[in-house]
Amino acid sequence: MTGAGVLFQREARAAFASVSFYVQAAAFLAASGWSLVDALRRGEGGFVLVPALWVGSVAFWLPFLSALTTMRSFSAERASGTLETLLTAPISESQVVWGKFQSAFLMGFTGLALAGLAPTVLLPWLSPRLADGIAAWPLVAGIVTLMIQLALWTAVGIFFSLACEQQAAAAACSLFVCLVVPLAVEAAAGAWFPGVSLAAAGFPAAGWAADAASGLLALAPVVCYGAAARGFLFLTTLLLEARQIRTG
Amino acid sequence: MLFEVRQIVRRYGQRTALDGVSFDVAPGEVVGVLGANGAGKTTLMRVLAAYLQPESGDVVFDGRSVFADKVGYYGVLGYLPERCPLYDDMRVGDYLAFRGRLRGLGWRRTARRVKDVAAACGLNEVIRRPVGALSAGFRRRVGLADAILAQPKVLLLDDPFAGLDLAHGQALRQTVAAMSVRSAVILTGHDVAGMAEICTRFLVLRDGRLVTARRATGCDTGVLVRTLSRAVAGLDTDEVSVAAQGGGG
Repeated sequence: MTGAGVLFQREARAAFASVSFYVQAAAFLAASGWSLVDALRRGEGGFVLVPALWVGSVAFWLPFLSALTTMRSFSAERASGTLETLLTAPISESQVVWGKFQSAFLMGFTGLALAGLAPTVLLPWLSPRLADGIAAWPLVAGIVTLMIQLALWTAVGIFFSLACEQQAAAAACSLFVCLVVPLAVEAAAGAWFPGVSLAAAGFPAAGWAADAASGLLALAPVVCYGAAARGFLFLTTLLLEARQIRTG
Repeated sequence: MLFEVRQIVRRYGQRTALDGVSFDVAPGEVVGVLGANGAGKTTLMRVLAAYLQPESGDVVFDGRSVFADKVGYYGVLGYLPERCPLYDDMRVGDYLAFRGRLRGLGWRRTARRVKDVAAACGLNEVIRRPVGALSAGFRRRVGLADAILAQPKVLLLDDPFAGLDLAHGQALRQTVAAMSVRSAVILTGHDVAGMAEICTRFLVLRDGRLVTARRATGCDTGVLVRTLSRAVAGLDTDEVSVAAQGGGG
């Protein structure tokens, strides 16, 4: 097993053994569940598919979950000093980043998988009529889209957990980049190009995920999200090397 | 020489923490680095561990700069940092196993080595206890066990005996002395008398400069301790020239 794999195992075990992860996951499930119920109420009698509503309701809260699950990744290591022992083990910086990323992604995916119980188990049980229209493939497409988004939010969170000394600051910066910046860009685009219809999308990432769950698959966002995630992991590796030089 | 330190200069902003430090360490040597607080001992250890990059100078191990192939160097390095940082949420045995596997030892060898180092460092009674519940002395022993786990060729110990009682300090000094058979050992500390039991050579740092280099073997321990204590306190500067000529001692 590689160094990244060994680190991933340690991180994942520590995360799943901590109470804070379950609190974070429960908050995420409550928030996304509330969003879904609200979306179902508002969309009653409309033509939007239930998987698209579910994906849209989850996508907005996903950056919150990843910000919370990643904020400790490096900042806790810096605070306790274990980063020094980790970086003097025979494992490269990129493997350290990859191991941390994998474990944080697994935590986010666990939250996502639990949220997936809403359209697959809870809805058919509580409202069989609504669940009649739920097909498997739109749901799968939506989940894959959310996983790609989760990869980017996790990479951003990992980056800020290293860049910021305080965990709260790391979470705040991560949320700023993952939520505030896309919303600001969308608002600016809407203001400068009124002809472009952006009003329906709401949170841009949620719009893309909802499109995928409606059968409108696009390759460009996949490439953009994947490249951006890769870019943030690369930046984290560079920062880790630089931090190693500056840490005193 | 196994280990060569060449004209290391390291600054923190305007302050020079290490100023042209040079010395060599041969296999089997145990070198003690002494100095008052803030003299540059921890910075020196971090540079030797390739954790900090110096502004100028180089650290050469087996003819190659340690900064050129850090991962390869870390494979033969055992390092105990000053703060002895550990994962508090893990049990002692699990922590050592994790570190062994991180060093690429494999499951079987890791299990065997964990057993060996736990016995050598007196950790058998706490092997199932969470690291966070250990006393400072036991934490340091876990840190030392981690450092010697992979049988390193270079062992860097930053203040390894701090917080240990007399009996455990003595036991750990014997463990370190045993390690010197196959490793070059460099350690820092303040307990000159205790370090004199195992060190073959002493270096004294003052304000980031190497002011004294002295062989510890073949001389009276009392005289050695007095001389070194005076050098650490800055009362004795007559050996500056010796250090400046290469620090060979």
